[in-house]
Amino acid sequence: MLANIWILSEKAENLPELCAGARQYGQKVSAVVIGSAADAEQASGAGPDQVYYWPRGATDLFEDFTAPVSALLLAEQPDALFVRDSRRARALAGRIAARMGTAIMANLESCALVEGKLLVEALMFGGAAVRAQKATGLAMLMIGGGFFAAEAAGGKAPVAVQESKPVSSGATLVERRQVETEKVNLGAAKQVVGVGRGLARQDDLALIGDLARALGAEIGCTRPVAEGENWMAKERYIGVTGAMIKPDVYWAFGVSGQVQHMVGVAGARVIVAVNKDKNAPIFKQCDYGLIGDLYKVAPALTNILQKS
Amino acid sequence: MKIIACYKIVPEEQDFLVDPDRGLSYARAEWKIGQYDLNAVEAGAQLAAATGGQLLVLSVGAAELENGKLRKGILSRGAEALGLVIAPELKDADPHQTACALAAAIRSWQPDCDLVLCGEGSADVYGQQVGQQLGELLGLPAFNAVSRITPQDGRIRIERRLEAEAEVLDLPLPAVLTVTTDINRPRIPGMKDILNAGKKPVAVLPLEIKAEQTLEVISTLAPKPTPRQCVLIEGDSADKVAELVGHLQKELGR
Ligand SMILES: Cc1cc2nc3c(=O)[nH]c(=O)nc-3n(C[C@H](O)[C@H](O)[C@H](O)COP(=O)(O)OP(=O)(O)OC[C@H]3O[C@@H](n4cnc5c(N)ncnc54)[C@H](O)[C@@H]3O)c2cc1C
Ligand SMILES: Cc1cc2nc3c(=O)[nH]c(=O)nc-3n(C[C@H](O)[C@H](O)[C@H](O)COP(=O)(O)OP(=O)(O)OC[C@H]3O[C@@H](n4cnc5c(N)ncnc54)[C@H](O)[C@@H]3O)c2cc1C
Repeated sequence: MLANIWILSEKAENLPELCAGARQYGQKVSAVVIGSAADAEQASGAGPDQVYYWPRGATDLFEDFTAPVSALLLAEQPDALFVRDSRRARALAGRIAARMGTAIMANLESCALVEGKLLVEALMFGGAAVRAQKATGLAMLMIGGGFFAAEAAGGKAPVAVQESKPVSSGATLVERRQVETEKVNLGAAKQVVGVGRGLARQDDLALIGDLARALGAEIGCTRPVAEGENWMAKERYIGVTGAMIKPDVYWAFGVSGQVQHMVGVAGARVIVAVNKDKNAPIFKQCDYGLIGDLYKVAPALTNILQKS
Repeated sequence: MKIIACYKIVPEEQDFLVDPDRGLSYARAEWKIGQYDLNAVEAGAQLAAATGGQLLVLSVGAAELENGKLRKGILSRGAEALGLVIAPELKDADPHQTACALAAAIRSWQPDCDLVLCGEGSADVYGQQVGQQLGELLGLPAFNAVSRITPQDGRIRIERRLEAEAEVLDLPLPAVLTVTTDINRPRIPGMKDILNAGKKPVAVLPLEIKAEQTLEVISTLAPKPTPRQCVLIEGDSADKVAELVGHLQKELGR
């Protein structure tokens, strides 16, 4: 076992997952909290042995805690730092990594303790490769949601309030506002219809909507559909940098089958592909492929399903 | 404003050869510019145009950076000059070493630059950290997830798109920013841009990179394949669609 693992999350609600994960490899688990007293309280009950708490004022930037957190890391010398993935946490972790002289391991497939070191398998090249690696110094791991499962924790860990202050990089806050996000749980869906750039217009999503209703399926898409075209919410794109899903059936319409997308559906029991190009790479990665026009296939399929 | 956009070249993953033991070879792969790095270059080109400034591009890596087509490719996107650090040690550079090399290159090549731009993530490792590490190494403010940049008198205003929040910050210059993949639509260079690119200066920087490797790579293998049946049906008539439904009903036992 490693002697001491630190965990850090922008949101305290994600600490139970990280803590349960860190417990598998570390004797002692210490949580870093940059936030409110309520966050520190929540962290204390999430299962760690120790909480280091930095109070964060309303205009303090999360990223400006680089110096105080790094200083304590240098003093305490933990073996590893597990960071729950979020954009702010990535920004802070990148800066900490530079100070600690290490690189963050991200896009994890697996993690194991081998000969006293964390052996981490990470996806590379959009999923076309898996790399096994170890850190030579502090091991910093970027942990996605659901990588570890939370466990019930009892007791309360002591909270050490830190006196050290954030150090401003010169940036000042002008405004913060909430933005609408769509709540979808593609991961739990039994059937998912995925749309690719084979769809010509946003209006044509109606065809896919009809089919999804007939199937009782959720709708997902490829990254360019959500990001270049902005036809669907970002929460709906599937792939190495988006949702990783495990439905019984994944229906891909007008999806070419690039590795970055297909990695996200590798866990599907059955993959069905509809593409008009018989050379599309997806036909080598599906169970059933129909070479044809999605504009004919989707309505025909809806029709058959509605009748049965 | 003097702007540097950083980009990385990577082997085309569709050209990888996989042997039966899942070993990978990039030997026959074409190299390409990381897709999301182009957003950084485009953002730099737009800012340079808006401020009457100058865009430069920078990459660090191994011998593949000698490729003339890729040099023209990057210089055809609004940049005036290219800086390169080419060293065999950088072939296996981890994100920390990469950031150290970029920091050294910027210090020696363009110490007076105002803004450094990076893409959201590289097309191979996608570690999403080089920009942040670079900012810290240069002692400059650094922010990721930047979806808008507005120049202001001697400062810049940025908007960041976080998970469920938007954040607006004012920053002093110089600074290092990592842009989102939807901050802009990268231009498609025309024939003239590509021809002109051949005439632009390329500086190969004589730098010794001293950063130690911080990640020890044990293996890089193709993923374990998921066996798929690959039953193909040709044609999109109602009969063919019914045939597909028949297969699925059997498969799912309904
Ligand atoms: C670092 C990085 C990370 C990435 N992460 C992701 C990710 O997480 N998820 C993701 O999806 N992508 C990701 N990508 C992008 C990925 O590389 C591909 O560009 C993308 O998946 C392709 O989307 P597509 O299949 O919709 O489009 P295309 O590749 O353009 O394919 C469209 C397909 O539609 C077919 N078609 C056209 N018209 C019809 C019709 N009428 N009927 C039937 N078929 C038709 C065409 O034959 C074609 O095969 C990433 C890229 C990079 C560089
Ligand atoms: C064929 C090949 C084999 C490799 N083998 C290994 C290996 O075995 N072990 C290993 O640790 N690393 C290896 N690397 C190097 C490694 O992939 C990266 O150089 C390094 O990890 C950069 O971090 P990142 O990809 O996470 O960048 P990210 O943080 O995801 O990149 C963000 C942004 O930083 C900028 N950026 C990133 N890299 C560069 C660069 N080189 N020059 C200029 N700007 C850049 C770009 O703007 C990019 O959009 C290999 C690279 C290649 C191409």
